[in-house]
Parts: sequence; structure tokens; C-alpha cells
Amino acid sequence: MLRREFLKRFINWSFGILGLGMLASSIHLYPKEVKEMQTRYFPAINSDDAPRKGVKKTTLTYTDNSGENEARIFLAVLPEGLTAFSAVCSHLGCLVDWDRGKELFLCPCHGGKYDIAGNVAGGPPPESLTRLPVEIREGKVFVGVTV
Amino acid sequence: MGALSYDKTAGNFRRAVTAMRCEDKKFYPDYLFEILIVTIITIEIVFALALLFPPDIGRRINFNATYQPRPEWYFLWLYELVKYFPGKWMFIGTTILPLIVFLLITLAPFLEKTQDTSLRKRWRAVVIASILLVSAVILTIRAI
Amino acid sequence: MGKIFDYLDSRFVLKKPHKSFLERDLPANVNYFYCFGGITFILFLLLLSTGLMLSTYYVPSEKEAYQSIKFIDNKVYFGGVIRAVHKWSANLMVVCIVIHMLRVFVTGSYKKPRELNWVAGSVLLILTLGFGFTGYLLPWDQKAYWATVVGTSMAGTVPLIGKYLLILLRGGFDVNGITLLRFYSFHVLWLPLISLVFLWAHFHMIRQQGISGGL
Repeated sequence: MLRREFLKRFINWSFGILGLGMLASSIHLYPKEVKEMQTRYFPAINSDDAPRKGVKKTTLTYTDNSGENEARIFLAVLPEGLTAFSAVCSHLGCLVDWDRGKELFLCPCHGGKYDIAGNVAGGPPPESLTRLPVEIREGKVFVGVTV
Repeated sequence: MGALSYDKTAGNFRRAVTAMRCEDKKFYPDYLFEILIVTIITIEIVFALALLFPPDIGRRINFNATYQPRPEWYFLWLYELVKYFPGKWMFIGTTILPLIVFLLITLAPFLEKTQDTSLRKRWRAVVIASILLVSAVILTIRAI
Repeated sequence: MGKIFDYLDSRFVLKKPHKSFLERDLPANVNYFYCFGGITFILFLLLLSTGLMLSTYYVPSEKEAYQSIKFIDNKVYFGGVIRAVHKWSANLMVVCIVIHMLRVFVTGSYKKPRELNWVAGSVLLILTLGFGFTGYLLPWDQKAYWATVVGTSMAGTVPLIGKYLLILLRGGFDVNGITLLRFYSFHVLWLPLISLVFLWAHFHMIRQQGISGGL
């Protein structure tokens, strides 16, 4: 009977280890290398076209590992100078739009509101809009995005 | 069960079936027949709906346009719920409340102590279930 | 028909082990609301068969997914119908699950000894919602993309593990082709396989415990 006890124990352990192994291998689902993040500058518009006051919506074409992409950004003239905002709502990632009448960035998804400086003015967003660094050179407005 | 969309007009037929039910039903052929009838009705309803209202396909993805995405109707309650928890309280709407609902549903048989099946004696469970159901309906309506 | 079946049965022996199942008695006091679990299963089978067909044409890639859906709708025999049936079965399935759960709740059928069957059912509910969520992305159109951005962002708000959960769901920081492939895999492999296990458990327990007499 000792032999049979050993067999039983062996079988139990085998199944246990097999189960644990399967569980551990689910780490496979997690990406090994999450994209390396660094700020790179891409030209948004000519500096002649930059807004003098208010907010201007524009498209930033940038390249990363996956090729050419587009992002919606806003250029706003604030007291501290020309500022670029990413249009991605800090709530759950929809794209906001500038409402000229209300002077607010409005998110269509869950009703988030931001003022012209990107600060939350109402609704559920937890943070202000992301500010993107701006550089003006060679007659162009360069905007930095993390890619 | 099944095969009885007929009963409103023909009372006799219904009575006959009810009488037969009192005897024990066999899976084959009594029950299987009813299963097949239900299957056929279900498939017909699905096909009718599918042919009358085929799903459309939206526009190509545009990373540049404002868009208000709508989830499937059965997620609308959650879509509406997250609006009420701003800023750092977001996780209550997205995590805590859905988790509580899920646990309440899953653990219902363990939370209900009584073995009684009459609704009157299970009034606590009935109240909680009604609250959940009504709030889901209200949230869904508000999201539309 | 009979002779061929008898020939097969004498070798393959299908009838004997299932005799108790095929000739079992059923409780008398069931009504129409007891159908909805069964209807849900019928819809599951419809989804399985239409899904198998759709998977032969659908391309789960960033560049081709959208086009392949259009191709299915316009250039494949019954493509549009099969996709429509898939979509409608999915929607009706949720309706039927809700009715089924309400029926079980009202008749108190989940009480001892059927607690675990209810738990298996509630896991199946979550799996169904998972099917709905992952399937919603596959057309790869505006609605699909942004709904997934919002939906996965919700996972990102979970305290402590949110960030990792988000990367796990999306396969990276952003919703892109990797996410699409991942959702496709969940939708056509992971979830169906897990569902089959739980469906088996669900049905096995019903057969062992019998349909609740209730009322």
C-alpha cells in the first residue's frame, strides 16, 4: 500500500504543478516590452498660421514604430504664451472639442469640461488636459509628443 | 413548455396538454419535441430581426475627429454610471460599484439565509433585486 | 434510418450510457419561463455556428479588419445575413439571460443545493458580457474603436493595478492592431473554450440535481 500512496501523492503533485505552471504562463499575455516612451518633436503648423488669440484646432502628423499616425491637438494662446494641448480627455480617453461660444473644451463622452488653460471646469475628468511642449524654429511650430 | 402559442384560442387543447403534463414527461419524445419547437421559434425570430434590421458598419477609424462612442445597450448603465464619479472618485463608478453588483448577484444564494422560496418571506432579497433592476433601467434610460 | 442508427449504436454505443438521460422523467410544474435558459443555449449554438463561418473571412488586422467586414457584407454568400444573425443572437442572448436569471431568482431555484449552479451561471453572464465587449471592437470602425478606448480606460482606473490591467487588456499603451488581435483571440478562442467548461458545469449540475420543483 505504500507504493499506492506514493502514486497518489505523485499524481496530486503533478496536477498541482501543472495547474500552477498554466497559471504562471498567463504572464505571456502581458507585453514584454511596453513601448519606450520619449518626447519627440514634430512640426504642427507654420508659425505664421499660429493663432494670435483663442484656440486653434490642428492635426499633428507624427511617426512612431507603427508608422505614420495622426493626433488631434489644440494650440491655445494663454498669458504665458502659445500652449499646445493633447485633445485626449483625461477621463476615459475620448477626444475633446473646443466650443467657441462657451469658451470651453467639451468632451462628448461623459460631459467633461475644461477651460482654455486646460483645467477641469466641470464633469468627471480627474486631471487637466495634457500640455505638450512647444518649440518654434525654422518658421514652424514644433509640438512634442511622447512616442 | 413551448408549442403553446395556440392556447388563447383553443382552450381545449391547452387543457389536454396540462392533463398530459401531470403525468411524467419523458425526455424523448415529449420533451425533445417541445425543445425543437422552441428552437424553431427562436431561430425564426433571430432571422426575422436579422433580415429586417441588419447591423450597419460605421465609418473608418478617424483619430482626428470628435466622436461619441456608444457601447452596446447592455453596457449603457455603466456608461452613464461613470459620469457621476468625478476626479479621484472615478474608480467607484468603474470598479467598486460594478464589483459590488457582481458580488451581490453571484453570492445571492449564500446571502439569502432562508430556504423558503415564497417571495413574501424573501422580501429583503426582493427589495435589493428590485433596487438593482430599477437603477439599471433608470441609468440606461438616462444614457439614451 | 432506424437500421443505420442501430448498426452504428451497436458499435459506437451511444444509447446505453445516455439511457437515463433520454428516458428520464421531468417535473410537471414547469412553465414557459423555464425555457429561457434553453433559449440562451440555442442562441449560443447559433452564435457558435455563425461565428465559425464569419471567422473564415474576417481578418483581425489593423489594416484589413474594416475592409474584411465590408467584404463579408457585400461579397460573401449570405455574408450580411450571417453577420446580422450573429449580432442579433448576441443581443437576444443578453435579454434571455436576464429573463432566465429573473426566473431563477423569483422561483428561488438557486437555493440549496443549487448555489454553485447559480455561481456557474453568473460566471457565464460575465463571459457573455466579455464576448459582447471583445466582439464590439472587431468591426474596427469609429464606434468600435472609441468604445474600446473608453471601455479599456475604465479598467485603467482600478486602484493600484489599473495601469497594468490596462496594458494587459490593450497589449500596450494604446488601442491598436495588437489590441484588435488580442480581442479577436479572446472572442473566438479563450471565451468560447472557457464558456464550454462552464456550460458543461451548468448542465451537469442541472442533470444531477434535477430541475428545481420550486413553487
